[in-house]
Amino acid sequence: MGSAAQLMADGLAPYPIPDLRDISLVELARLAGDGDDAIHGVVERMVDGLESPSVIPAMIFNSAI
Amino acid sequence: MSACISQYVLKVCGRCDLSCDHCYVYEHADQSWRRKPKAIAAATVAQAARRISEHARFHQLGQVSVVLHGGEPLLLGHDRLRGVLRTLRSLIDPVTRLGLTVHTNGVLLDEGLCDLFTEYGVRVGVSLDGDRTANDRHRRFADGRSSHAQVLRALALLRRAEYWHLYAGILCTVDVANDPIAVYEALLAQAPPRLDLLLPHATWDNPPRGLPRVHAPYAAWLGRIHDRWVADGRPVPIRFFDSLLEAWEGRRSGSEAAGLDPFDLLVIETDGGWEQADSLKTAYDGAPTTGFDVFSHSVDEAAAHPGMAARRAGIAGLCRVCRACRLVRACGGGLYAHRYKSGNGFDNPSVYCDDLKVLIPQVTNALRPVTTAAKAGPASGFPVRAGEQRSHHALSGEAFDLLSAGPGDRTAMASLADTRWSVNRALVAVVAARLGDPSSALGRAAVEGWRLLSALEAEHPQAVREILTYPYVQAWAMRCLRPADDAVADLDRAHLAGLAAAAALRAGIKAELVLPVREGVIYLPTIGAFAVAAGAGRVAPVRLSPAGVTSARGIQEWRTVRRVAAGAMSVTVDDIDPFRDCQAWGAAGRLPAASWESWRLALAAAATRLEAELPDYSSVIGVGLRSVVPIRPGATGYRRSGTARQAFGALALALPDDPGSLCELLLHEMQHVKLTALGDLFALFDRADERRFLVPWRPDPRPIEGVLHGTYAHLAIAELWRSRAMRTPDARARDRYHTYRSWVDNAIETMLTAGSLLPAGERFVEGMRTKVKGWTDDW
Repeated sequence: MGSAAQLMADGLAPYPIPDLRDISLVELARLAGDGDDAIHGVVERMVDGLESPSVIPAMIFNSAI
Repeated sequence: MSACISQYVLKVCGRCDLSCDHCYVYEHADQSWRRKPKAIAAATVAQAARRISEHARFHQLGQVSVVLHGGEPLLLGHDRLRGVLRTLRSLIDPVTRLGLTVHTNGVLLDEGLCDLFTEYGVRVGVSLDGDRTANDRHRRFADGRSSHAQVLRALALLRRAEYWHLYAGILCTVDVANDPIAVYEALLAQAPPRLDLLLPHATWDNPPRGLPRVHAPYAAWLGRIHDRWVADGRPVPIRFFDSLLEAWEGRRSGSEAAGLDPFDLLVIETDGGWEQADSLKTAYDGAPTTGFDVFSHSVDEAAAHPGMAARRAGIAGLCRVCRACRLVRACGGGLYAHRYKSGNGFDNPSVYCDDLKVLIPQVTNALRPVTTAAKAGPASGFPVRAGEQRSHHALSGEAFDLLSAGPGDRTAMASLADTRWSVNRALVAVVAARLGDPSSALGRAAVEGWRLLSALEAEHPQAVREILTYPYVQAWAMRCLRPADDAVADLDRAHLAGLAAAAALRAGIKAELVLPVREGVIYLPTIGAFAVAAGAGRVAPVRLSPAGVTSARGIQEWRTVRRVAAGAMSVTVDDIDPFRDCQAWGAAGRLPAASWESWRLALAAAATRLEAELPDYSSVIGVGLRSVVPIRPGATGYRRSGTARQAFGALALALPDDPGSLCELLLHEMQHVKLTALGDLFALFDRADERRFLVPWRPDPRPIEGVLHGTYAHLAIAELWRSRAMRTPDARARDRYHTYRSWVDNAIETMLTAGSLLPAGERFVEGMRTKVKGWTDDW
């Protein structure tokens, strides 16, 4: 497998899917419960279709966030 | 279908009590404020609200957002603001959920207004550029007085317990002359629930102020804050950084300053005019104008304005330079207004392009807050050090290119499978993390199942992997995370016990477990299912051993998950798994013995034939295909097959009337399996591009994703018929080959000229084109 840096040099820029194979299920669940960004980011992208806020103009905060 | 608009900026006041010299409303190219009313009329508010509600009703929008803005909206005064809010609520609330925000300089905010905003459910965003030195650099009264103290008073008001629910956050406009850390600390001291750092509006005609001999000064300035923010553990969401990261990771950015997401916002000016985003005021006088107004034109009409359409074009709407940039999915070309140059409009990179090229890698490569993690397996106890970079899955460029050429190879397929293994682990972990305290029998079954599964992993990791990489585990997990029906959510989560039991059986250990009963049946994924006696309840205890499974409630009608192993292929033919019905076509029920025999023979023949005709494709199928789901057949002569993103390694098909065509179906669907997994690793195309394109293989125009998938699938079919035509002087084979090849050629040209492909997608399609060009057909 290539490294992310090598892929970037190749002009490919992969989505970051963390390698979770060597982290125990127990620990993964604990990290998930703690809101680990990487785990939830992957899950969010896979689940997809979740309602998400529309693009927000730069100058204001949307009340939905 | 016209665009849906869910966000509106309502200019309730066209003047401001401050005289900020960096204000894009009053100090930039557009001077239309001079020609507009100082305040919005009540009738205009009412008409705007009617337009918003009619649009929401027609498009069945679940929610809309309205931001009160200006100028300075609080200049309207308490009573008139109450009137605005009452009108908006009364006309929009009955139709859709209305989110209200006001964005203010804070100078006039008082308890009375906070009480009003509480009454009408309005959140409050405030502008502050940092400490007093930074804020006073631009944000002053017309007579030169500082506004800093008043803004701080407003923020203190919002921090009070009784008004905390109103506090939306702080917007800070960047000035590189300010000390970034002083700005960051000053903003944090106001305890905002969120921050945004805004690049000052600028264009190629009026570029931003830089610093002498400093390349990419805005990246340097923001970068210092980013480093400090990360070191502090990201104490507050900073939208600019978060949106770049989310866009980079393939999620919605939620910001017009990042990502390729379509833009769905309209501004209602004080005179009732529909306008495009405010930020366009920095480009040229009249830039945001549409010529439409709320009295004469609907939201749909305003949304159809060419300027609005340009904000929904995704990557196809970007200049050539941006389309070719590997960072484009993060910045999306930058804020639209920042691309303006007189002479060629917005067909340019952002005036902040150099800064974004420096900042994006810094943001996307930053250490995530990784806590200590124990490794799986007997050799556990080697925790990742806090702050250590977690590794990510990656596919080599060579493997990428092999896949684009058609088959890929076993290593590339195994890499894709490994990626999905991590994804499944993440999904299962989140399901487990949300189990909570079990108050029901099903809840307890889920918890105990999780305990057994996680305990099994240490001693029998391969058994657990066999179960958790099974294609329908992802479909199950996603259903748990997005339950469509609360009544079955508990039942679905309890399937964890079934997964654990199946893993235990594979490991050959003894265990006792309570399993969920789903419509009278207990399921053991990859192994089988059995019925339990009527009246057994929602759960039933089972005993697991190397000899099999027993149940005190009795085992009736045992059904084994059947398998076919032939050629390079070894798959289940799964007509049992309760989560297998995730493709477009309905899953068939249990195959009677005679049907199963037909399936077995047909699949074995197809696998053997594929191994002989296309060994490269066959060997990849051998690595990547785990399960075939029988689906209900369609009308005679029509072939049915499909795959699902949430079931990697599985395909569904109805046994074709012509068994010889089963090879094609297996090849075709396996291409989809590979490309779907590849698409989860790489951004291949602009997902926001709503255009449809004609393709030769079906009459209805297809989205770019459909064109890409269809082309990749037909590439394999073309190669199959080419191999057959080369071996035998068969006119039919040659005709089929030429047909599929022409389809592929046609679709490749469509994609390469569509402007919807991202750099990785272009490379993939070029790979297909190179493969096809290499078919010299000199036979």
